[in-house]
Amino acid sequence: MSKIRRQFLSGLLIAGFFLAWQLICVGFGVSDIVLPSPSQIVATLVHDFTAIWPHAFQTLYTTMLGFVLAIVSGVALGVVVGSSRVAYDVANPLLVGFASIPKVAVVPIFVLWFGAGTVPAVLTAMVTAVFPIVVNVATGLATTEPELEDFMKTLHATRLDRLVNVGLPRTMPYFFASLKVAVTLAFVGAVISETVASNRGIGNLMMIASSNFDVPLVFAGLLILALLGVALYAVFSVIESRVTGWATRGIDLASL
Amino acid sequence: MSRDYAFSAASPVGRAIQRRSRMLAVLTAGIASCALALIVSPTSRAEPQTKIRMVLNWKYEGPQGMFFLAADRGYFGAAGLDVSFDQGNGSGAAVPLVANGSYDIAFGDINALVTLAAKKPDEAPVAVAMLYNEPPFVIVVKADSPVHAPKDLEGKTIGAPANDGALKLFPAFCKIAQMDCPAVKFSNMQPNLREPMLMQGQIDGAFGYINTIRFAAKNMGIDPDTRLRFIRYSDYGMNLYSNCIIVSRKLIKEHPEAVRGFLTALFKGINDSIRDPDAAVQAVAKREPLIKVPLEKEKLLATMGREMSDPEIGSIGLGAVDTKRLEKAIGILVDAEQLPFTPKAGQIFDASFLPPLADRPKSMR
Repeated sequence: MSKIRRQFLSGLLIAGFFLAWQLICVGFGVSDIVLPSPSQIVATLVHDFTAIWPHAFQTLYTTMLGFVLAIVSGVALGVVVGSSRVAYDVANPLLVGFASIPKVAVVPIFVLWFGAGTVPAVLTAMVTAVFPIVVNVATGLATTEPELEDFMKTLHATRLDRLVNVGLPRTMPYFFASLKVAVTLAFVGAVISETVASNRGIGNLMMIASSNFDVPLVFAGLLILALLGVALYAVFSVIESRVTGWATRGIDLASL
Repeated sequence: MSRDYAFSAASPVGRAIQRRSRMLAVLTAGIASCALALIVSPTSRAEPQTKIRMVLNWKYEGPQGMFFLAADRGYFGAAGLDVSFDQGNGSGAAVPLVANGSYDIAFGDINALVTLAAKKPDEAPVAVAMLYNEPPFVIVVKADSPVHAPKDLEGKTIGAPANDGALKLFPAFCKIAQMDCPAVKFSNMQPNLREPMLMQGQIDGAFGYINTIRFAAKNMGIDPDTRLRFIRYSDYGMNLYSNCIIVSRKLIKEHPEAVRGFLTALFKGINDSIRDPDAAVQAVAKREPLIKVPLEKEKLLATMGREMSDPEIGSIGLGAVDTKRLEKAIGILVDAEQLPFTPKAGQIFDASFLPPLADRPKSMR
């Protein structure tokens, strides 16, 4: 099945989902404070677009900033943790401990330390997104084929040489896989922070909309989040295929 | 190796497979019998009770002891009701939860109800008993703040939890107090962050209910009488009603006797709480052992003595409303929020389910 055909079917599935939703709302006469219909949501989105856009931009901005920080710190931590078996075993329990803390519990603390608004949103996005990156980079480094490592050692390559020329490129598929997960998590973190304390952002928009009983606007916010999430996922998929196309060459050939 | 041999008890693989299938059979039988036992086990009450889901105004606190005492002393049960309570997230937030069917009854703010009734008259629920008849809406500032009168708030940042009643009434307040409304900045946060952010100086003031703020400050170890100052909306002629019992239209239509029974039981609980506030707070502590009992008792007494003690209850009793006062309050709201139409008092409040005057307290002491 060709790529175009798969994308077409994907679009068909999404259209089918919204059509079913619309039919259920109209057919069962569902009130719009319980579940607005897609037509209502899109109408609200179009009508209030100029008011919604600054919020969407804020969420996108804090997500991307938090995400970039997560990549930098995630790769750095991943390299440290994955560099040796000892480091991996010693650091793992602490990492898992931190990752297990629900980030929504940490947001009020960030707000009290740094004030409401952008800073806690960026920090929450970073903290939520960093763990999958650390784990994947560490795993990728730890599972580099020993034959390649040994070969480099015979050429008297330093540890840094081996890391830069073998370890990191070899880790790229794992790293990009984690990026796709991490970007959606960064989104979640930023929006959660906005619902707790912020004056801008989709999370804030949704809180205010629900307090005004404007449920279609809440769902319009959700729709924007979904669209932004898909867009970011798509961007990173494209980057991934350019950088690590060599890793999936077997799969690509087989699927033609 | 033949398939028959491999799966028979003669081969190690076969024995392992048989062991596994036996374990699976035992496990399935166990789960099935547990499920069966749960389904056919007798329920604790023989007669069918109307299930009522109620959402409260806030997290567990002393004033809610009135509800819990009525539950624990079996008053709801005697009225044929099985009432479950969920903690709430603000008096304003409780109202849409009844409107969208998540709950049958709420303890919420009548002003949020008026706003919803003006926007969605067919879906808005109905208030049936008024409990907080003195307006609790305030803007709190630190005692050493340069803000003394409402006009001083211009240019300042006020903490504004999204569903807060005082925030929603601010358009009316700033008009009555002749402030420059757009000059006041808001900072949105969850209600539990309001007092910490105020004390840290991240906001200059905050919206809220007076007792919620006072006792949250006490819980933080801050004495509200010396460290905080309140700008009360009631000082500026905003004689609004506040929290009341709100029920869904569906419940009124399908089980009117349940609404009547609920209120009868509740007022018994309220009368008991006036006589024995310790028992009321104990009923709360049973549900949340982490509360500070002396503080919550103080809060219960403060609420009964202030929020629930408008002089009008001396003649009409707790629970009823003065129609003229309600109409004036509705007018203030419609004007402040530019609502599409003015709901009638009768649309908002239905007094027909209240117990007779003799069963309702005329004084909360």
